[in-house]
Amino acid sequence: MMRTEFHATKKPAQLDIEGDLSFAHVSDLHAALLTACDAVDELVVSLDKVTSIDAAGLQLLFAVCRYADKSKKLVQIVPGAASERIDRILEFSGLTSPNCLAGDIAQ
Amino acid sequence: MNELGSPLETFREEARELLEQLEQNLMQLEEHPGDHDSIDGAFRALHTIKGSGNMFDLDDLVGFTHIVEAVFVRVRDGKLPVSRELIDLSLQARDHISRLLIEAESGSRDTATSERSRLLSMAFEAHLGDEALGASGRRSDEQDAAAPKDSEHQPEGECTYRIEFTPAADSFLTGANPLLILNELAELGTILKIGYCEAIPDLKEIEPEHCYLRWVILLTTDHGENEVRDIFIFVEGSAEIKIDVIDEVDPLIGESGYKRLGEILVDRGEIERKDLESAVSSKSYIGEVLVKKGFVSEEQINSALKEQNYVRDIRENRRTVETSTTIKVKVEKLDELVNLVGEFVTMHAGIAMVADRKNDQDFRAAAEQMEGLIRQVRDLSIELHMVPVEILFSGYRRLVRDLSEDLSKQVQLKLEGTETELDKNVIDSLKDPLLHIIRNSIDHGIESPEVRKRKGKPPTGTLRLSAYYSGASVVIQVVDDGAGMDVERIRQKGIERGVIDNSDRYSEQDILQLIFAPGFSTNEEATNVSGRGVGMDVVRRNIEAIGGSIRIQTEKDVGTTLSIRIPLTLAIVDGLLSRIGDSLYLINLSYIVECLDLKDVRTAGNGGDMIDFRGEIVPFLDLRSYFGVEGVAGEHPQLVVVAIEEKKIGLVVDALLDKYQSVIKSLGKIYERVEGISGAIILGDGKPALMLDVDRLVKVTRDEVKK
Repeated sequence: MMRTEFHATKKPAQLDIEGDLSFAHVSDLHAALLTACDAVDELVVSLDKVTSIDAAGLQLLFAVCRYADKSKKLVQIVPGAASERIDRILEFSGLTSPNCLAGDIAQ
Repeated sequence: MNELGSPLETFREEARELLEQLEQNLMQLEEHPGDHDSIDGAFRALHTIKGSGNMFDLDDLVGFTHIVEAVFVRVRDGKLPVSRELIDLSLQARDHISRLLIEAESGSRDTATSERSRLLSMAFEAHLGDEALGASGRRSDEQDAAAPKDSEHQPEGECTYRIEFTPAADSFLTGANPLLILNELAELGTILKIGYCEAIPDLKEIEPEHCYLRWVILLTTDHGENEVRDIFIFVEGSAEIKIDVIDEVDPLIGESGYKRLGEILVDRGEIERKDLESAVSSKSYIGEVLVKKGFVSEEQINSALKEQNYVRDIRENRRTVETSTTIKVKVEKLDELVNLVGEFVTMHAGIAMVADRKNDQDFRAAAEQMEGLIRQVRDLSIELHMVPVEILFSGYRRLVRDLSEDLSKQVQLKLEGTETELDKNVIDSLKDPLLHIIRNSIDHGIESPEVRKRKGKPPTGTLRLSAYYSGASVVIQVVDDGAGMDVERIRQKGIERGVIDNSDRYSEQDILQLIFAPGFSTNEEATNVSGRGVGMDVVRRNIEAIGGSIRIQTEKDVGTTLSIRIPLTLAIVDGLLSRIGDSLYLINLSYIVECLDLKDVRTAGNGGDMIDFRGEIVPFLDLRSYFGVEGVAGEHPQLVVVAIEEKKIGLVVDALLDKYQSVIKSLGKIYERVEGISGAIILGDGKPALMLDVDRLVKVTRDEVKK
């Protein structure tokens, strides 16, 4: 199961992802990310409630960072409570961390 | 840690060992032409000699070895069968490499050697077919790199594979999760996964269900390439997979470093060599230049750096492990150690004696504690000196092969008990005597195929070399299924030469022992192989010099067995100290069955020259009269029952003193011919004691009884 919630009015705007960041949901997530990125210039993608992640999900996070670089938009991915999970899959897959992956969101 | 000295000296030493291995592999291949281990072994030996020779700029040696190696690449790849002719040629090449090595050592260059190089090279090139060699007779890097790919790589120990893995775009859709593959690979050994995400498009362009990831995986494992490949079995048709061996254990080639960054990138096909060369000319850091010039991405540079560090670490670890588990030590140093331990043993005996004399309990306890430690050091130092007889035996394979060919005979050599260990010095002393015996067996013992057929024997004769433990001795046997010795003919010859008389008091063994008399031969014509009896006397002398004995068993048309009994070690023995008159004698403990008070023993036999030893009638020898010791025997003479191969005799001495361990010293020329004495020891108080030659005494006593 995967759910997203976009808080467009927040400063900066925030997209919360909840549940499985995995192949089964990457299409839906892709659409949600595109919508959010198109809507604002500054975006925080929060993975705080992500419960699992696979290679397809991880790949999508890299695509977000690449988009941010290209579009000059300010996009930050914040792992929050999923930080350990993200670190584990990065280590396991031998991939370096996406460059827009940051620390916790300053509340 | 290598104790041998300079790198060049180490190379020479190890090249010699590799040539020995090469010879063994070739001999094995001749018997089993399809034996992959021997093919790989021969190839590896040649490859290592060439590689190491290259490091020392030994061009002649490298060039020649390279051609031979190239032929063995073809053999390994199944393109060239192993034939008798190829083995012949390869053995000649082995000898020639040895020659080149000697010339490299001396710095001389013989024109005859150069000519031999040329001729042998031509002969090998004829086996290369259309596969041309690189310039200057060296195979190009490309050819070398290509060679292992033709067949599955089966590492001898650990090796490191570089696996380039690009999953198919639809791999997520088809359920071929690449992370599961990485997981399975990790189970095979040590792994470094370097993931590449450079192909991932941005959010606008990405097809989220497509896989854009790829990996370079470094896997260090002792599994073969096929096992590694099996992991990819379900994605083989769709994914791109490239597996290369980038590092394997090579004992000679410098291990601590690894390829430079640019070389790794060229190796991986990520840049062209010309691009690398253009970047190298710049003074900046090569990685930066390559990225700046757009030849590679930063990710590729980082990946290559990771590979460089990974392999360096693996090598460094291996080197640490190797150096901490084995060291090479010169035999001379081991000899010195054993000698010093021997001196230590003697010195301790002196200390123990003083402790006894002073009747000081503390002193005595310390001396006893010291004895325990010395025993451990002694056992360890002797153990260090032991080597398997395989080293000795396998050296005769070539001799048997060449000699049977020269004599137009068919002989197969069988080795048994090769794991039996003997003192390195004993092995060295046995080399020549065994060589001589084997020559005689092939020359005079084993018949030609025609004669064997006429006798109803298989045309191929068998020569068996075997070794086994027997108490504190090792018995080495040379057994042939040849014509056997003509005992009557030897007897006649003995009478003719006046060595024996015409009486019937000589046992078969006595007569057979005549072949060890100087100049004794029944052959009318000398051959250039084993001559005219010159040598068998030397054989016996050499064997006796190391405390050994030699016996013969023979049966006409069935064969001959020569059994050589030798002590396990020449260094230190445990013995029982006994006294006859004022003289002291040491009896090797390993031969002693039992010690008895003579008065408790019942004599038997007509002349009272036998004893009843637990129901067995056993001859005995009064050592006082045997050695002509003057004076009267003690009040309580003792009987020491000794046995050699179940043959028992009793030895009568005046008194038994104590157990004693000591270093055996040679007696020198004066006592060389004293029968029954094999050496001397120096006791703790400086007094000498004589070591009894039990083997000889058993023989003399039992022969006397027969007469």
